Amino acid sequence: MKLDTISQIETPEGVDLSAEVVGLTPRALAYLIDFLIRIGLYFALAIALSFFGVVGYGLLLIIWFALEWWYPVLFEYFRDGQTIGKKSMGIKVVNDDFTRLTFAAALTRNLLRAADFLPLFYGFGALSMMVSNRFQRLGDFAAGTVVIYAEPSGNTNHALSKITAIAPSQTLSDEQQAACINFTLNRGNISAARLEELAEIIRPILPSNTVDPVAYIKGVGKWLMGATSEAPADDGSLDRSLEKESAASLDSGGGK
Amino acid sequence: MELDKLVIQTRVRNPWAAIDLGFKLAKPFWLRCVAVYAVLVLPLFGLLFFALDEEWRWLSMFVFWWLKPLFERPLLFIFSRELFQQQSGFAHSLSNYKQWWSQGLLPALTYRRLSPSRSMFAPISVLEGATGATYSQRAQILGATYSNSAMWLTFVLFHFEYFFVFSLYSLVALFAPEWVSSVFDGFTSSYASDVWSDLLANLMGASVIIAMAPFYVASGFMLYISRRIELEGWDIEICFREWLQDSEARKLVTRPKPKKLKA
Repeated sequence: MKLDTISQIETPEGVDLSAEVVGLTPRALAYLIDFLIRIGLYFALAIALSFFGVVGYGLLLIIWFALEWWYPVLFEYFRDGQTIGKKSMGIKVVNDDFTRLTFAAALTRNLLRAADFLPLFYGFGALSMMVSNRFQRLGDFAAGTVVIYAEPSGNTNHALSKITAIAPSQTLSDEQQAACINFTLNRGNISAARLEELAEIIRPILPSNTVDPVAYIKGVGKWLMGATSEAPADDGSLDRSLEKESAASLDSGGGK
Repeated sequence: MELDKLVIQTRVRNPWAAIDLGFKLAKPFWLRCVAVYAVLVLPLFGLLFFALDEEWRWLSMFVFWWLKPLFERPLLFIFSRELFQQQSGFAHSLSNYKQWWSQGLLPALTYRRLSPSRSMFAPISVLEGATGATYSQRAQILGATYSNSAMWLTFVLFHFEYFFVFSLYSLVALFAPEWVSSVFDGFTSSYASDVWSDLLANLMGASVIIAMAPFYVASGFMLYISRRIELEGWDIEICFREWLQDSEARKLVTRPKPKKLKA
């Protein structure tokens, strides 16, 4: 089994679900953003309420309590597992079976931030995220939640209009399809020379009359995208399902 | 490079996920990394600590901190070998010091010391042996969309180093019996009362730095590797090679060639 941050579960119906769990660094940054927002709000209100004497001070304390304890709970419950910080980092909280976060779970995980904060500055929480398999802090364990990337590692879509679609000359496995599509989309801006080098690898198994293997594989990739998706290729849903597929099938392929 | 030996799943990741993967990679080799790091740094630190006068004692910790890029190199060496299933144990990584210690060390300890992306760019000099203009060019290509995340990685782990030190101090203060905590009075007063409590306080800081280093190095290394996977299409290469092997294996079994489909 190869190392990866993808977590896979099987539902009682026998369906495999997978998601990419999020580790300490992006989560700490999401927390920082939320923290700055809360502090900013608090100071703004503190200035405004300072004109109202003791009543204002009392109100301020209540607001502080609400911001500290309810801000994450309400955001996570009502905004599909995302506080403002989490949204800007592209991550979200879900139950550990990847279903939408329940209210009880949102409440539990955030009340237990107190435990994660111990002994100081989230020492236990950070340690727990570093050693646990799915990067869970103590509150996550108690509530049965995980933090995942809202969108799996993104592919940017490129214009494919110059490519002629070509039907493959043989049946392709899931991972072979994914490789061809990745080749076509060329997410990393692979250099032309390197694309040629990659294409040369499988030249022996391409139809013998292929003149330009790069164009051929790109054509197959485009054909696959057209042939396998119902929606237009640029809505990202295809990429997602393919990524999951390739992640799952590469897993089993890695063992041999 | 034998890509089929990679111990990580070869796929395109976003830079954050690459950092997360680094945390996963660090765990199985954590103990070995910590041992190598400690063996290198503790003698130096101890020597300086006892050689210097009390008012200059802080220098021992500072030198330790400044030389971090040097001590992180054997860790990078271990990860870079283990990534391709080549064993690199405690003794092996130390005895092969010639392979990691010298190349590009001067810039790493001078004008690149404070670079916030040093974890990601260390492999360029340590593993690729690039210097000068070649280094800058590589850093620019590899850095593209990634160096930003490398910077935030440094930012976050820098802070957590301090958070963990504070956590450790407060744990000791909370749980240590009275007679022990009297030794720790040094933490609360700005000047440590005696050598031993000063040493203990410094060692606690040092142990946090040492314990965090494998995570930092592995995450930076995974940023570097992820960028190369993306830039060079490693995932595609692996699949194409297996594909070729499969079809050649099938040829050996001799089957009639399937009819070609044409578009």
